[in-house]
Amino acid sequence: MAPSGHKQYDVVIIGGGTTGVGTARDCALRGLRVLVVERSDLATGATGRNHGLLHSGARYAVTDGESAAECISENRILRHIARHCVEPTDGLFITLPEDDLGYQSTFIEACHRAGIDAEAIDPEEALRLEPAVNPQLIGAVRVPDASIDPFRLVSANMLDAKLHGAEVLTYHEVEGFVGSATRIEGVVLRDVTTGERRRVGAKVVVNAAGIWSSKIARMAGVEVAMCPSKGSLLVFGHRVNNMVINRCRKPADADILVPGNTISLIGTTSRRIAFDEIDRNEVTPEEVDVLIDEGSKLAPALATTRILRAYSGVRPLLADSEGASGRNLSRGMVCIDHAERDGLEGFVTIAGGKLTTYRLMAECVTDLVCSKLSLDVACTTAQRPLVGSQSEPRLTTKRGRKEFISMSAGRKGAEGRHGDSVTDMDFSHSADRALVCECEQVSVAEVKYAIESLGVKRLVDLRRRTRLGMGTCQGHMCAMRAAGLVGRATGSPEQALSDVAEFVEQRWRGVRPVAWGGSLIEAQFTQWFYDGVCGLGEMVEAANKSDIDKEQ
Amino acid sequence: MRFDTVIIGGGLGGLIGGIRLARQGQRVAIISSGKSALHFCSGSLELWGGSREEFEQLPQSHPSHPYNKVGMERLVRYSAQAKELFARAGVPLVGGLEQGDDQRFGCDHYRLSPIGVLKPAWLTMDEYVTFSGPEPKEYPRVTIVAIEGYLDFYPEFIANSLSRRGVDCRVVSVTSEALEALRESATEMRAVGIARRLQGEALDELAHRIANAVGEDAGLVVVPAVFGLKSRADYERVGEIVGAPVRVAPTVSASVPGVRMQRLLSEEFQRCGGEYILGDRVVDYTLEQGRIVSLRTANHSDMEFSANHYILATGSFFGRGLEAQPNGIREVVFGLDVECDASRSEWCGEHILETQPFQRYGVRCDERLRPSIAGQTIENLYAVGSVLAGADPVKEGCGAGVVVATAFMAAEDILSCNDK
Repeated sequence: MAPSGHKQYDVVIIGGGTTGVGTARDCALRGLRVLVVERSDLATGATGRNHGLLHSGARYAVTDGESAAECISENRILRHIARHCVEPTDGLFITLPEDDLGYQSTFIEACHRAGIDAEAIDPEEALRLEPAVNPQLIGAVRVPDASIDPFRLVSANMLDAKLHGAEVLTYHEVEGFVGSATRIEGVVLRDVTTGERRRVGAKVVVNAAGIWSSKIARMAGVEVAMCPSKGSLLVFGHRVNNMVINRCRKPADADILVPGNTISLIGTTSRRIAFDEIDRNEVTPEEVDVLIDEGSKLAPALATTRILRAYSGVRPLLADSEGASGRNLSRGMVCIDHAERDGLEGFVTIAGGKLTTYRLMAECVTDLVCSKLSLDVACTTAQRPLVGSQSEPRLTTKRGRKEFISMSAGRKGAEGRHGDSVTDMDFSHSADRALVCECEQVSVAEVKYAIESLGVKRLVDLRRRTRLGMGTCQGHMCAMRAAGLVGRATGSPEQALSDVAEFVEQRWRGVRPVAWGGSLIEAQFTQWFYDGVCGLGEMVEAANKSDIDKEQ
Repeated sequence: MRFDTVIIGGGLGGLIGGIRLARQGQRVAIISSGKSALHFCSGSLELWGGSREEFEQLPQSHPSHPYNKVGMERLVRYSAQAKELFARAGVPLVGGLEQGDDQRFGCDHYRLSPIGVLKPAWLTMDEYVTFSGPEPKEYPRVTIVAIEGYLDFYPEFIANSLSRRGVDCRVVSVTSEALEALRESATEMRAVGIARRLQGEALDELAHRIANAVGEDAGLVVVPAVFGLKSRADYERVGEIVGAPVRVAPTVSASVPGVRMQRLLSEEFQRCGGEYILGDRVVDYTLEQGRIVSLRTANHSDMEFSANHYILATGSFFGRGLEAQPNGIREVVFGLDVECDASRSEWCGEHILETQPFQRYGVRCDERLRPSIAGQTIENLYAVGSVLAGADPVKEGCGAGVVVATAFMAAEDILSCNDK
């Protein structure tokens, strides 16, 4: 163990999901020296693998009033502080002929108890508001659900945290802890790319690793019991619906359809999985069938709409919160002071919860960190808009709308994604206005900005910062274009090419479970082009081989 | 409308079959949706990417492979005929089957891929850079020209690959005033859009800029395939101005030489008297006693197309000749018998760059390339090209070879029927 000399922080946060990065922002705003470490890229866990639904809380109103109340309160806050990440679509809870219409009044009463504006509307009115909804509906309730882009939310929190002094290390894995059995004093990090190890010191280490929290806790010598639950979703090739559509019944499989950006998402299934399945879970054909069948009941058009891809995430649910004494906030989230619970100083865990309540979770754990450091600084994250949401959206004024019309396609796309951070991108040269990804209107300027400012280390990261490759073609053209730019920026064409292989492979993982129709056509073209025309497979193989030769 | 032969599909296979038949005086119609894989052509046609041994093993390893039906004697003959057919259409190709390598059957030379890999090729359009062997020995010095703001060409990748193989390689970048307006539009800066601008004086201006940028002792000058939409003479013109040998390398997305090849072949077909019906598709057909009697199309719903013979050259999934639905795979026009795995969980391989079973799917046919419906062979219908089952164009590197060989074979069979 290195005696000293390693970098020292007030707080080291483990996990680059919304909770981790949100906590980093809160800590930084309260004046703490912060480091976030993430073993992969930001938003690669449950954060990037859910519906992108900003819950009104209505879904939980009947079964978990406390969670519902938290949701509606956070929903209102995020519409303000993260408006460039939120699309205020509103939602419908529909009753179909096979459902019990009597449930509707129970549901509405529960919503009102939790403080959620829920209003029963005429089925015809529902059809007028949302023409994609199943016309056989016999009842509908309108609620303030919304669509939220989790990737953007993480970027904005990360930017704001950095602006206030926080540091972020992606592709750095925690290998162990520095300290003793009774006090954590830092972490041992391994740079995943280079294999280099280093130690960093921290007064408090925050375990915000989502479903991997139990693994991290065990490394520190304590227990956090998580219950991995896999949820699968399908991405449709265009926006089928403009409002969130739910079923007005007890939560079940495939009963939420969320519009987001250029696509719609149906989900989810729910299945307990073993811990060793977390990092390699796949969407099964049976799940795909359930999602299409059930989804078509919400919006019949889904039965005939092209499916772009399937993906699954693992919900970071707490197995049992009995052991979590003290700050047990609700059934949904838990904030554990391991000093109090296990006699281990310098280590806290924030777990459970939902995307919608990430800010509240960050506030709770930051309160705990501050109290441990005997600091008395109030949380301001509920009031201060995030980077990107600082000014009024351009489209709210006449002049703004006029300006918007004359902007280049790439700039329009970028403004939609990055809000007022678009002013940090340079669109002054025509070459930078060229589109890299035509499906999602991502320009060279936006790619350059993402590489310089959003911590893009590899090509695959670019997708999460810009939506590059998330559209209809699933990246078969833009991956190469982007690799050309990344290769030029990093000066490593070989790395860029092996990144292309990784990029198309990652896309393939999502396409494979739904490879028929248009998706199989794209897949055939992708393999023909990258493998047949370009010879990417043999190039990557040769590069791997020469690496092995070098090592030997 | 009455024809000797009606061909469904106006890509490489349909055009070769059509030209071959029309030249023999047949009255031929091609019904084309307008899509063609040639629009994405790398400049080269591949016949076999594997070893000679693997080729010889085909009857055992993949009994339904179209090459097993074509046979070696015909394959060699068709190769020579194809080269002659392309040349007459105004598409001179280098290569062939004559100088076959002992180990690598079907590999006459090597082409340069968009990322700098040297891949075996059978026939290549003569403006492209090619190498006689798997190492780039004949060009010790290469200068690659990039065009500013053009994102579908990767000089750094090519330079990196060639440099590793001992080529003295450098990259220079040029721009052109003719392309300024194009850059203003975010989506126009693509190969075909650029090629439309780079004609006449605009091309000369660019050529002079290339000459300045590459300087003396440039060695071989490699440019992206973004001009020469109308004529390959443009490459000679640029070469003259640059004062050094100029060859093109493939770009990503639409291929300018491929678009030209498609146009020249369809012009050749029409010169031979063929009827090229563009933007239409077959929607219905009449089958009587195991023979196709007539077809109906979407645009000509009021009339029937009838012929003695029909050729199906609609391509695979990408060409829309085959369609995959969650519960099965079907041939789109006639509902022909298809060779494929029944369950969709078996269609795809785990990794995209590894073998994909679906690449080999297609219609089943007899020794004369005649497909069947519910087990009954259709007497006067031939299937050619990638709609056929049995070949994996990617892993075997045989896409164009199968298309060309089966198109010639179907045409020959049709002509021999008429002789009888």
